Amino acid sequence: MLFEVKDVYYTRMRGTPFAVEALKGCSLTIPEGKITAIVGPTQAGKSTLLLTLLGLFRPSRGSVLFRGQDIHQAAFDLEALRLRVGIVFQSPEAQLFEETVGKDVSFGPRRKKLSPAQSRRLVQESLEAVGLPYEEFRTRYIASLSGGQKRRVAIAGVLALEPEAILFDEPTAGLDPQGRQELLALLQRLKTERRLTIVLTSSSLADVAMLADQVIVLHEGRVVLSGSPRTVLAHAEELLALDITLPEITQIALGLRSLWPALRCDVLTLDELEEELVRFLPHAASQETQLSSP
Amino acid sequence: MIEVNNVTFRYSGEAEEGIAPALEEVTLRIDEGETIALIGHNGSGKSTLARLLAAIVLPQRGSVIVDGLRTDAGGESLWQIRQSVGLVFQNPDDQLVTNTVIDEIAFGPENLGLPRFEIEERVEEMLDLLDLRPYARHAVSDLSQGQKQRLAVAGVLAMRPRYLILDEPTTMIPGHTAEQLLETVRRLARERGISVLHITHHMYELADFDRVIVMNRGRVLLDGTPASVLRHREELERAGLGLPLITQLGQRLRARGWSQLPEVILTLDDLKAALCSLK
Repeated sequence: MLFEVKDVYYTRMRGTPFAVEALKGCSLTIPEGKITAIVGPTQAGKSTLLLTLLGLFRPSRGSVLFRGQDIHQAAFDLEALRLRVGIVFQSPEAQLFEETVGKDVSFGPRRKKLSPAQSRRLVQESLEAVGLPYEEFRTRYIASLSGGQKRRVAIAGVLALEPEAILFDEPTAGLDPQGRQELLALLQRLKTERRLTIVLTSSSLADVAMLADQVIVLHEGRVVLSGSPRTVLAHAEELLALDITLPEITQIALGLRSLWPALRCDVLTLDELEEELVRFLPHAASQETQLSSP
Repeated sequence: MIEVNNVTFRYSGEAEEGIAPALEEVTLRIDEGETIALIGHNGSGKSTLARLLAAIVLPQRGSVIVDGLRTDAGGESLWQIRQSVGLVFQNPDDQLVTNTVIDEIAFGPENLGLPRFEIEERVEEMLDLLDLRPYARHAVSDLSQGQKQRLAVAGVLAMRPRYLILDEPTTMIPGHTAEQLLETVRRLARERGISVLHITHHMYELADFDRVIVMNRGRVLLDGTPASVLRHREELERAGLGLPLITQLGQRLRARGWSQLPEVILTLDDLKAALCSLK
């Protein structure tokens, strides 16, 4: 296990009239080398949870373990943790601060005092990994990039630190369908080609159903459901009640349940829904004639 | 009525770089009270068309005429056109200008020079219409993306436009929030006779509009009712648009022998009704 979260409580803006209990007895595990999606409506505690994993928030109760070690013990090196686990904040465009793409991505390697050659190699590899050719983008001004490109530069900046895991807060928010597809494909590549552990948050299961190995559903600071996307989708009605956006296919399956209550709604593709639905339909007249012909 | 007559529009520099114009020989008419979904791939000319209708850019060839006024006539008529055609941008942050929700809704009416009681009345009306009353005194910066999008619509509607253009308002907000917004907008069209032009790239949003216009490479590819447009599967696919999943499901079942199913199924209710008739 990369992370274990044990019965964590956290109150944001504690001691002010705006205090919110963001996490209320949250327990979960993040396995290594897998994609974990933390799904929930706004205010469920998703972003708070990510920041708690990195030790940026200290739980008021409960503990966070990294490879079995409590990250808030005096002996634990939090700085080392943050070098091994990167984070891409929501709207990561906002975390870019240098003038050019090359300078921004090389910020981490330079701070780690790597040699110029090593730093250059990391910047090149990181930019190529996010689909931005090094020679073309190295000297480009950040201001001249599109929103989707800026997001990828921010990810490259984190990759250049050679982390073992990256946490992404709402990585697809505000992207159009094409940009969203590209970003999800990039996360998949980071997992398979670089064996990174990936944790992402989303308010929609539509984005993560085909991508995640594990889905954790958060509601009001607690885990209410977890498992493979299919296991979680089997509870589609409950998810809908929590204001979680379902994949289009699941929405159709759920709607058809009023005709056939036994219809499964844990289908991920149109093919699966078609096969599931066919089981319930009466045989078609023209289909029988087709079958009887040689 | 808005008439778009044989309009061609090029952004500066496109000709030199040998890029085709953003819009080419587009002709269409928007009637009062119509709800239209305008769909197309990135770069198909959707947003350019929206800007031409709102007189933000002017056609280089052809004309755009809003209630009898040409958008390129200049002077007083430009103000009238901008007042009757309201445009909501894709990213609400691009058009919200004040600090609080109430101020934002009042901004348009104040600039129209309306008397105070009239401004207050419109603000009150919009707070209810777009479910913003709980946030009336909140800072705009504290709102969620969906709330900001509703506020942007409220700010535009407070100017009482006759035509409401929404440039991909559902891209930045979650599914169910988007559905609620579209439902509110369609209700307005029914109750007040406002025409709505909703720009989108989600095929599943088409079903509930009176009319669908499909753009491809700066031209109108298809124009008709949702059902008639979705009959053109191959043209849509060539324009990079797949049929809605529900329509695809119906067609797959038809191909497997349930040939009495309709060729184009638009909504879940249609699909259920069609499947019930098989039972």
